[in-house]
Amino acid sequence: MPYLGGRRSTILNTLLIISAGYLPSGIAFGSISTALRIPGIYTISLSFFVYSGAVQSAFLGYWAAGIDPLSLILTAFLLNLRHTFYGAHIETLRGDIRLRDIGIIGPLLTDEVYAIAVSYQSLSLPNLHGLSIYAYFNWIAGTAIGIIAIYYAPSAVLNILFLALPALFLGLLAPRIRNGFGLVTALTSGVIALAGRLLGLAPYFLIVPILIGVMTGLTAGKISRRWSK
Amino acid sequence: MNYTLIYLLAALALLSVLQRVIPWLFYKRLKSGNSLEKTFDLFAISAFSALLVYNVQSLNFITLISLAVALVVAMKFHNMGLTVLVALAVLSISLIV
Repeated sequence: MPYLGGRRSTILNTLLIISAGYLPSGIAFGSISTALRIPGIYTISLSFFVYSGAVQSAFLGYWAAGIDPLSLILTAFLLNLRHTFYGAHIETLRGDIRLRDIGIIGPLLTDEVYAIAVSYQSLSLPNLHGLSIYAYFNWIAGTAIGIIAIYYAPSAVLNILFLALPALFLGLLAPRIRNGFGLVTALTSGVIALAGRLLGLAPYFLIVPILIGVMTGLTAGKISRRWSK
Repeated sequence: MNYTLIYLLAALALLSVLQRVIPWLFYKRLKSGNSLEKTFDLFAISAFSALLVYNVQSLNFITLISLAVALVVAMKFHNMGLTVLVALAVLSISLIV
């Protein structure tokens, strides 16, 4: 992340990072959601109440493939499990966190807010509060812009939107693959999902490639560690 | 009114808040769970990969090129919104040309 030095420039930098990431992503989510004929009230409610790009994107994927509530809830639970450790990690870096801070930052704790909280430790807690709220409203504003923009978009734009959802998942997936285990996980999951699609299996099958992908990645990690010993 | 959808949204919202706040409250002094974080990272990779495959509606040369360019952008800039915009821009240009 760019860092110019100095407190004011740090705040400005973090605000720009948040807006650059959240506005386009929110617009993409809002417009794709509307293109998939999800009513606007549900779309904005997702951003307002769920406030998780990963879970909301998974919701779109399930909506397009056919929603199976239990699979979706399990996927959402597992996707958000990483948040479990964010608060604890911030806590270990900053000793002055009170219950009030957890109450403000906790519900708005996302990947980006966590990354900024641990990367810019010079930011004060009030600044972190402000940043969390700023990120939240950026996400909602982006979603609202996306919902509105799609109504004014020409039909040519609507015809290319079928590619937006795969691109969205690609945008979420690619930065996460940082080693061979990640690649093995992605390939395993992708190949099994492809087999499921070709065989015309029901939407709840989606959880199968996801879980097998994770298990394969973990096994590959264990085997690699054994070999290296 | 689709009550199933409303209940589903309520469940997702509740889950989202509880998963962020409750562990922080109860494990305030927990050191960073690095190995578990890695497992969750793998989960996210697996989920997004499966969802990517499930949501490709038609695959031809143009969509493949668009996704390939989007992949490069995603790896370079780590920005979901930009990746979507680039994929759509490449697809649009390909269709015009």
